Amino acid sequence: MPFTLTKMSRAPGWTRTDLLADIATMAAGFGWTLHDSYNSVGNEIRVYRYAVNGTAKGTTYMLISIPSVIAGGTITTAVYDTWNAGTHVGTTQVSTMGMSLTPSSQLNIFGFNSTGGEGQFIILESEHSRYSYGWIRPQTKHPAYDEATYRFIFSPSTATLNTLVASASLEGSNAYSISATVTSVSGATYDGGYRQVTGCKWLYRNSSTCGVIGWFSDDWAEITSSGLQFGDIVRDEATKVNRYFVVSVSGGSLALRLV
Amino acid sequence: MAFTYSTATTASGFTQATLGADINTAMLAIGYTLHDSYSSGGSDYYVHKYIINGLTKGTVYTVTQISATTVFSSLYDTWNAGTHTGTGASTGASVTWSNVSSVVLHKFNGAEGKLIMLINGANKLFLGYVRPSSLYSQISENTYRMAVQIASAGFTSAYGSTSVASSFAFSTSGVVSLGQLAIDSNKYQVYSRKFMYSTTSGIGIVGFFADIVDVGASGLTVGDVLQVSAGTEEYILVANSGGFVALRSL
Repeated sequence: MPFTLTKMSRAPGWTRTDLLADIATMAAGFGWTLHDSYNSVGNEIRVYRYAVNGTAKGTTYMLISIPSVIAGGTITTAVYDTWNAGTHVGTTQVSTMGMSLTPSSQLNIFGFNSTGGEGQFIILESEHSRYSYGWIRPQTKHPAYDEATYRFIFSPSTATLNTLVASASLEGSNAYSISATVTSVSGATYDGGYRQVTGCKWLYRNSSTCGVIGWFSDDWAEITSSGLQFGDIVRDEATKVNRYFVVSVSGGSLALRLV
Repeated sequence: MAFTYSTATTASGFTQATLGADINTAMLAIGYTLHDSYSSGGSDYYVHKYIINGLTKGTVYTVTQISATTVFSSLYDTWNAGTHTGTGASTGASVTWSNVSSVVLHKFNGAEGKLIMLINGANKLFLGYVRPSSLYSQISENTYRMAVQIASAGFTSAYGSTSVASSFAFSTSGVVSLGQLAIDSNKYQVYSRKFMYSTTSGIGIVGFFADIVDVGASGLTVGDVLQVSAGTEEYILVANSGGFVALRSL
């Protein structure tokens, strides 16, 4: 099931208050619950909670910490196995990303909401730097991966979504990769500019205890990406109708199918 | 639509003529017809034909040359048995043979190819063709022959003809060497079906395979059977260096 895309922008000169408001708007649209909100040594911290399912590891806690001075500062994100809003302490922290945004340039916020339960995440873009915040879950879970013990909800550790991490996963804090095979392939030019799109991507970690643990739907597509860049929207040659949003063209090509 | 799989062995000590005769027998066994055979310059030539479909470039001719030291394989669009010449040649692949070791011919006969994997000691050569079952919609086999010659023992690339491209690559995953999977009762994993593409500008992906797959092959040797589900889904490993490739046999 494809993604609903929501885009917001802030003109240069945007502030932390603006950013927090936009993240709150996106989170509300996703149906996330604001689990904790506080200020710690100048950092505004938000912890959002989302229950993907009712299993023991079916809920993810996603933290974002924004410093008082964004320019030159670092926004950090992390995920937790549990979070105590009373003490502002979580368990099994796994850092996901550090972000350096530039308030003196335009801020673009892309919200991706899978209608098939394969993820809800934001991509923040300023001055061609991009960061991601949210969760991702392959449509099909390896039957031997036990969600009562290990979390099967992942968060991007790169804005290209090539690598993901999870708190309390089978491989601990180690990163998982999304498969990629055709990064250097050009698009076919003899079909009116339509792009060749192939699914499906899968999620793996190259270890004897893990291997391939999940398969995405065809909404997570590999594309012949030569000449494309982030934000391009392409149509596939097979249907000439389906639209894909280009997320990554290097280190693994990825395009997400839009509604 | 899996490949029918069987093997034939030529015992060590064989002659050039015996090797050619056994290759011919294997090619006939997987559905080719003998279109031409002759000897020239000390080499024995066998030309086999297979009609994949009725399109202009839907027929493939395989030319196998057995010399005193090598076996050479190439594909053609057409072949004239009177003049022993053809058109639309693919770049060929070859291997040095020695009768110190036996030759094992692994025969694969399926909708996506009629392929022989020749193993002689440490040497390996693929004879015959493979062709993706799902071709890119813009490619017409009236114009392009899409049956290709495997280029090397690693099964990582292939040669076309005066085709849409003269050579192609096979897709590979990022997890090519993983062995048995501890969380799943030590089963091997099949990662994905291969596709064939060219990095030449403007070509891209030309077709998708159904039965030629990327597998976790660490610890396995060529010819091993990967039982994803014993009796219902099995694969024969044909490359565990370069590409990590298996052909579905069940």
